[in-house]
Amino acid sequence: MLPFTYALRNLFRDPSRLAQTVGGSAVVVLLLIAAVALNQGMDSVLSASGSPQNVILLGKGSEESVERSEVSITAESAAATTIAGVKSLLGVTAISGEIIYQAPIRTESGIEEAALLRGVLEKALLVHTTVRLLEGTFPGPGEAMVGHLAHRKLGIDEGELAVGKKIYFGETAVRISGRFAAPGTVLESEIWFDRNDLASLTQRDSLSSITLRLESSDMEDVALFTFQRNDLELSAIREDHYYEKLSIFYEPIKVMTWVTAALVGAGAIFGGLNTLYAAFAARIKEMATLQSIGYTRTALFISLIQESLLATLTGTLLAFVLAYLLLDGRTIPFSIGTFTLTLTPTVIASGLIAGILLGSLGTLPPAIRCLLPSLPKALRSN
Amino acid sequence: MKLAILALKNLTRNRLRSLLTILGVAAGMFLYASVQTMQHSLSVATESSAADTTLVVYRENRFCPSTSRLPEHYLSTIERIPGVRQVIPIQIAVNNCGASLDVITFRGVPPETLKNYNPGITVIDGSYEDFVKQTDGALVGQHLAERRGLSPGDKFEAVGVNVTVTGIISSDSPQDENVAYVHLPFLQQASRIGLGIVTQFNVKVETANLLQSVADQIDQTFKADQQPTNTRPEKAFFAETAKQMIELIGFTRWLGLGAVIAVLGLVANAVLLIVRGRVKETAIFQTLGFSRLAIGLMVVIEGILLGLTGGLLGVLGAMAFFHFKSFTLGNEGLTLALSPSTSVTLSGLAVSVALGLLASLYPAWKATSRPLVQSLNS
Amino acid sequence: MNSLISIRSVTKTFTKGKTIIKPLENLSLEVARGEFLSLMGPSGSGKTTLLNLIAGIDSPTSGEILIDGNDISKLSRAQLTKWRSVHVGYIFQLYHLVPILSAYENVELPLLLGKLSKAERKKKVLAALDLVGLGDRADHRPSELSGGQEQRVAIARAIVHDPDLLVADEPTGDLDRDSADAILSLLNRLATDHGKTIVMVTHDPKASAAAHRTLQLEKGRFIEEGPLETPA
Repeated sequence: MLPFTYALRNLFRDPSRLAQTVGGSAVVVLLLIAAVALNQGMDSVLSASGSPQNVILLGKGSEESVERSEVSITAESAAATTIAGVKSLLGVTAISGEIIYQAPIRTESGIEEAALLRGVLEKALLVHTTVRLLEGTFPGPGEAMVGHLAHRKLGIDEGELAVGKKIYFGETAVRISGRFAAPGTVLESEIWFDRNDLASLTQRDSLSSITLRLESSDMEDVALFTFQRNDLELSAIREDHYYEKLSIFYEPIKVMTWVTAALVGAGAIFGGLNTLYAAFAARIKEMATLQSIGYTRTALFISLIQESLLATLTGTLLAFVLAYLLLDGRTIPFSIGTFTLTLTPTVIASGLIAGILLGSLGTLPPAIRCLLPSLPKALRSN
Repeated sequence: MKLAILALKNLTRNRLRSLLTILGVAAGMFLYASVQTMQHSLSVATESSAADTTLVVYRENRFCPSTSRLPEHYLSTIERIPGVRQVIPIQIAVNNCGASLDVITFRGVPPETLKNYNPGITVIDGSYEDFVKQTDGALVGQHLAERRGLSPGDKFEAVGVNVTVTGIISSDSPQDENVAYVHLPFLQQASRIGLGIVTQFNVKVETANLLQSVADQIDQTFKADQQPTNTRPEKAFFAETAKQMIELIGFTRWLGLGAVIAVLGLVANAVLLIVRGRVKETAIFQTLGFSRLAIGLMVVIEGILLGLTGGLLGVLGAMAFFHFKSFTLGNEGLTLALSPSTSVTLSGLAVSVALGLLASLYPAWKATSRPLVQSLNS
Repeated sequence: MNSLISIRSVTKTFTKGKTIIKPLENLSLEVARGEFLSLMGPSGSGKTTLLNLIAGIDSPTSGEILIDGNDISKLSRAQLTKWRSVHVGYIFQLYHLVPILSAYENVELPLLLGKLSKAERKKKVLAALDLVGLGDRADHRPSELSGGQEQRVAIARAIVHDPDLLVADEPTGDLDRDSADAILSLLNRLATDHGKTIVMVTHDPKASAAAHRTLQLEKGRFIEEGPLETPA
């Protein structure tokens, strides 16, 4: 076996080639982990947003989008009295009829952006158990509370939505009474209004949805209710299934990120192969000399792989550092919320595997070409 | 000319390297061309031209079609406004308001007036008369039909609405190719919006210069009503409503830039390798009488050839891709068809040539900058 | 007969595209232990091919090559590699030193294939460098040595593992007169004083003069077959 220092020193033989290999691998790995982190972030916020214990009642035909759904107000009390086994706390049943609306909101400083609004009553907290008040109070009439990532969704400064400030829906002013967190869910990008206020502001006499938190009953009981009360024209869907269906809509966007990563990555890989072919071609004679001394092709091959792995793993490390500085913790807004890019163990593992594959598999063709010629030919090569 | 032939021969000497480079360039240019196609399709849809004569009357401060509810009786009032040539009420039902690739849109219109309003609609399969006669009939735009594999006679359910396909249409207005037209009263009932309510009115004005004044007048008329309106030229309406999609496409600009940088790096790398492997040969050429300029030129031509070949592959590949697989982005009930265009193809090719040229400048200089004697002895 | 090398009716053919090339045809040769043999001839005469066969770098199309009793023409590539590492030292025209290793490390390379400890290797390397007169340059890289010095390091590398056979392909081809003379006298000493068997290919008549015996090759055959002598 050739000494390790041989592989190490060979790297520094040609600084520009080293820079190319390290840089190229860094690009490929960075793209890969960005794509993985993006996909994971989107998936996790969608899966965390829905609880299997909650069931959403929506208007028939609107199961794909709660915004278009219309549910009669009477359905709320009907559900409360008819469906057994719904969770209740201190005599209050965990049933939350809500209005969900997308509309432009204007801040005090005049910036107007489209926001996600949810009209709720206090019962909402019994159903959306991830919600925690960070400061201030639950909204009463004339008030609203903002999710702590709402400003990111709107693309404005956090200060614009501070407690005490006003926001405007059309001409009506609403005071921000509190700030809440709902970690890892889409809820924290929303602005929650008092339901009656939102109903009159949007001129709606119907709800968008009714969410129930189940304790001892299950989906069948709720489905039964929708059949029995056919006149209400409701359909029931488990909250986690609802968000699962939503994520299908984002498939094309995810596919786009993968395709992009693949295309640019392919370019980088081809460039790397070119460089390696050239670099190894220049060493055919040296390889032949070592073979004539008595080193086997396998030993030489392993040395070449060592060399490449050193370079690609350095590139991988560089990619991790860049990802940490540029991507980790970044929040990306999308249509129904925001998600955060995190360097999870999966992300890091995939980057590492990519770096290893680049250094081993990626080196295979050039290395084979370098070691293939017969000794007499190689010794004479130019 | 001779230099160009020499350059071409040189590229075929190391087939593997040329192939790898060309494939890499093709990948990058495919991405670039795709991004440009999206940008181009978007600008066609949102940038107004002098011939625009269509206005969209929408509920003020609303975006998702399900939230815009205007009384159908506004129709007669709008018709009477001077400058208005034709008005059509439209009820829109869409399966998802967020930006996505699989959007199903129904447009409920008075069936008899559709052809009148937009004579540019051609029925390519099935019949218009069947559509008028059948209450649950639908005229499906050809892109939507392709996407869902629909032909006349098929039954089709979406957004809680059940229709029968009575015809497939194509139209000069791109929005039409991605929607299904159904009877207005039918949709109003099926989507439980209720009779008498529509999402919007599309208005054709008599001449393009009346566009803004008619719009202002319409909004002024309904300002104090229960349902105030916001009337804008069709393209401006698109630009202000489909914000999410526009944001998404805007973001892809960065991808296009990334692709260009990657291609630049790839070609520069390849040409540099070429130059470094031919130091002695280049010197010999010089002793034969080739000037430094000629040698530099040869290197640049090699770079351009690599860029152009890869560019052709990538750009034409992207165009073929968009041609055969019709992609449509939807947002807030509006659709954007991504279709290939000649201007994007030509600009893509120009860019790949430019990249090939740019990438070879430094290597070309490097090829001839060493003293002759040194190169001969290497 | 004290032959280290016995070549019997060896032929080498290979095809280049559509043409068949026969650098050697039905060649036989005996080389005695401790003999310094020089092979001369014009380009294409087959002398390098013969050298490569003797060194185990190539295999004949037909015939036998016995080195120290072993028929190396029958060995597989892997076996040949192993055999070379023990029995042969190769000296090239362009030295072929590894540029990123020091003189010491270059000479050490053949020993790393064996099972010696670090201390034992050090002993052998320094002994080899001393023998070629470069004991004080052990830490220098090839770029810091003159052509003649580089060739001497190459020779040290070729003898460090104490092979019976040294094979040299135009060892003085790239050197000035003085350095060439020094190398040739070193090779002569290795054969005469240390009993190494050396087969050298050269164009240089002066180089041939340093050898014990010279053979001329032309078109794959010997022109003059000198009588087999035992060295003095």
